[in-house]
Amino acid sequence: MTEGTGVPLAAYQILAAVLFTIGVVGVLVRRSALVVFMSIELMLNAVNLSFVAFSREHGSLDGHIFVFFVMAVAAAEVAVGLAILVAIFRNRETANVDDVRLLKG
Amino acid sequence: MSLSLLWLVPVLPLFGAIVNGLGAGRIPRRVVSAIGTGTVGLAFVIAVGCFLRLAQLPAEERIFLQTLYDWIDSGDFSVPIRLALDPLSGVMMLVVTGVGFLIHVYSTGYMGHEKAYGRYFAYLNLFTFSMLMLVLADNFLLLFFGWEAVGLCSFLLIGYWYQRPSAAKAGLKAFVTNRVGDWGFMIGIFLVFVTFGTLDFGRVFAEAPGRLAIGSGLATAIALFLFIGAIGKSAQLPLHVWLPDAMEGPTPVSALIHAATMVTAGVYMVARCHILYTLAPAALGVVAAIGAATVLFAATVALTQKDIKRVLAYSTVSQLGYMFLALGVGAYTAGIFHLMTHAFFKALLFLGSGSVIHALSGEQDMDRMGGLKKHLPRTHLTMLIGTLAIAGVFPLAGFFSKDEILWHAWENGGPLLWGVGLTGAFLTAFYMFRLYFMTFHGQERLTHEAKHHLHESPNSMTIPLLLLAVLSVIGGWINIPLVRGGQILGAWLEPVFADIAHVTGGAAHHAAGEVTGSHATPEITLMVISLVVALAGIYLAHRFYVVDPGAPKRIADRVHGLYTLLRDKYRVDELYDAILLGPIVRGSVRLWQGFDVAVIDRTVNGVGRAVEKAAGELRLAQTGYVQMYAMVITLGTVIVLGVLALR
Amino acid sequence: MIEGFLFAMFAGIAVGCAVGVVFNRNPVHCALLLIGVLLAISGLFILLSASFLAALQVLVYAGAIMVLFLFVLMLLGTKGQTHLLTRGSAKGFGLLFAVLIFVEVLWVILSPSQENGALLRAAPIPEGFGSPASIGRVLYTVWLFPFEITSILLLVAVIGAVVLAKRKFG
Repeated sequence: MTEGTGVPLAAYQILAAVLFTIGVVGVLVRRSALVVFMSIELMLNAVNLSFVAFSREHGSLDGHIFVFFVMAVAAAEVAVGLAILVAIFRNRETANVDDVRLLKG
Repeated sequence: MSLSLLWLVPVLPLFGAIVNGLGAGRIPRRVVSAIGTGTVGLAFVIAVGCFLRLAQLPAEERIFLQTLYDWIDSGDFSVPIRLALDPLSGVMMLVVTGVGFLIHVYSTGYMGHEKAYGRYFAYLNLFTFSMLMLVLADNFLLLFFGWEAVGLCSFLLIGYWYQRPSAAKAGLKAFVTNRVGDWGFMIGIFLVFVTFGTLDFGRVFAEAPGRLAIGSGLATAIALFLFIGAIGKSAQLPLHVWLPDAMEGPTPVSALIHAATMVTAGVYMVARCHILYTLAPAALGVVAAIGAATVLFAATVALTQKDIKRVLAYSTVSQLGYMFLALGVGAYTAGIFHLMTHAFFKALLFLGSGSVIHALSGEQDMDRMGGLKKHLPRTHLTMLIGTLAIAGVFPLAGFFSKDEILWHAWENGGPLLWGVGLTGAFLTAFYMFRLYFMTFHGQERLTHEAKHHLHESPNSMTIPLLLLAVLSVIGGWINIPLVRGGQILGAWLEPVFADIAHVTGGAAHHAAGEVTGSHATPEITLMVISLVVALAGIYLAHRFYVVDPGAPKRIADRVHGLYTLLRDKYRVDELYDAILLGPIVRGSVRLWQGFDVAVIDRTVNGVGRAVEKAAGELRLAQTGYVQMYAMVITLGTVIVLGVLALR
Repeated sequence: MIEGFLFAMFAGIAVGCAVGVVFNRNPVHCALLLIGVLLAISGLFILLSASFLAALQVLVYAGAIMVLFLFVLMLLGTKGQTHLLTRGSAKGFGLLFAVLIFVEVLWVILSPSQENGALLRAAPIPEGFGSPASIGRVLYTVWLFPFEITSILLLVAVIGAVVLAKRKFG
């Protein structure tokens, strides 16, 4: 059994919030599709951190399990997303989010 | 031969109509003819059988009811499909099936070259069925069914050559005009129902004297509204306008429907409801007045018509007026008698004219006829007999029936009505012999085409003519006045009209045409007068159209205004157009443009356009930019988080 | 004491690299900086006694996912991006919404509640917390169904990726 230290739970949460916000900014503001993807990964990691911190606080492994699944799903998502990106790039020579707007109403 | 076969009489033609109707175009012509005429012929045989059977019953018991189906049965109100055979409907039934059969046979010859042969016979059979249902009906609703159905068949047959605009219009005119009459008829039926709670003839007529006071407003209303229906159906003033136009239909149709049977439905109806009319003397007076007015109106117009069928059409209107005149003065038997004889000689005249038209390859204008006596011997002979009959020459049928009416008009209606009838008789003799002379005598004014193809008609057409001619000769002998035992028809119909005596207290013998000594001298005098008048008419026609053919033109020029008024049938149609049809059509156009197009269409289209515009605006939200979508999601998250955070 | 220091260090690395990911022009630099973030977070996991997850983070996230990213980066080439940020006023709104989210989350975190005030690790944790054994014990019993489903999910992703990235059909 390890003893408590001086790092409050709040610190971890705030850190997670900061990372998440940075990720949101990246998603909304960057022009390159790849960087947008990476920002999404950033957001996911921030959430993972939050989960693990809570899990430690309550002494329950549920948070760990959740993070486990998040990682698995993130992997799948990245695979498919990058495949789509590659397909789009092959057709139109650009990785710009701005240029892909076929869904325009 | 049992009376229970009665139902076959209407059903056989119905069967023929269904078979010919469904198989039109696929069944060979011979089969169509066989079914078309055979069903009616067989119906006639059965009708005769039933009639004789009925006659074997004692006079007071001569009424046979046969229920076919419980049509409406709701609480106290029930309307079954029930046929009622009594002396009156028996006579009608024989006329319809007998004359109808002859006309069906004639049609096989006349319509032999038509493409839509099957359709014709289907309609004609359907009409026969409808008319029989009308005549054999036991209640007002069933009668009304037959009433409407014959109107429908009339429309279908008038517009048989519907590709011709004039024919289509004529059919429509007939139907619409009838509808106006039917409106009144329906109100009459409603009043009957409200007053009696039932539509059954037996019960209504039995309870009528008890429930309706003589001359009461209710009785008069019922009688008048029912009569409005008769005005429409039987082409009396002012709803006569459809009958001349109905000549657009094939000539056998004109013979059957617009001379012998359908137009007589009104007469039959009034005769059937005689008790209601006896209880409403004012209404009877109206009946007589309209009948008399129609007699003169139509007869004067007939003087100027050039189309052979038009003359006969106006003649029919005029003769129907005689029938209503008879009913209006309480001479119900006389009215039915004239109905019967008129069916014989008018059908004969129409079929004869059809034979002429057929021989002249479709020519109907009498100005282009003449001298046909030697070319069409059989047609000529039969037409002569028919013309003599309608002119009322002794001893042919028309003489007896018309005279009966004139006698009763004098007796019960007064000298004015008699005078009108007499004038009508003179005019009838004149214009009918004008027709005869212009067609068969005098110079030949045929077109080259017509002369080239001139030929007597085939047997299928001339044999019915001969049979009808025979009937026109002997038909009047079933009701000879002043001879003891001579009023066979009168005695036969007496049980039907006997209840009048209970209401009026002993005046029934007028209806039945009994003979007493005090009547003899005046009656014979009047008979002689009418005979003289008829002969005068014939003589005058002979002068004008054989001896001195230029005379009519000279007289017409002298009284040009009067002549054109008569030729244009008193411009009644134009009057109706101006005061009724014109405003209605203009009003409809205005409604269409002002409301349907401007308001409704604009609203509906406007809704569509509004949706389109809204969609156009909303579409702008779909920019296609993924990051914009992400931003909106983020905004949503912000809001949701805010709500949750502030809890 | 030392944990506080370690925490501060890892946190700083994470935030710094994160900012770099978002605001760097060259995508390859962004990828490498992201790996930095991932490693920093792995360190934080260790501080939180999540040893198994820390290892997974390095192996799967940094080791596989980011490598995939780099592959695609290489494939697509990194011709200079003319503009860094997206066009128009969207920039401002994006920033605004992000800041709003941060403010709200902060609000929730800092609202008085028994948990936040307490010092972490006041609660005693069992032996072997966060070890592969303990996770496995829970994963294959309570969470068996999601586990199996996730395997199917991965299969679907593989098939999807192959199909989408094929050069031609048939």
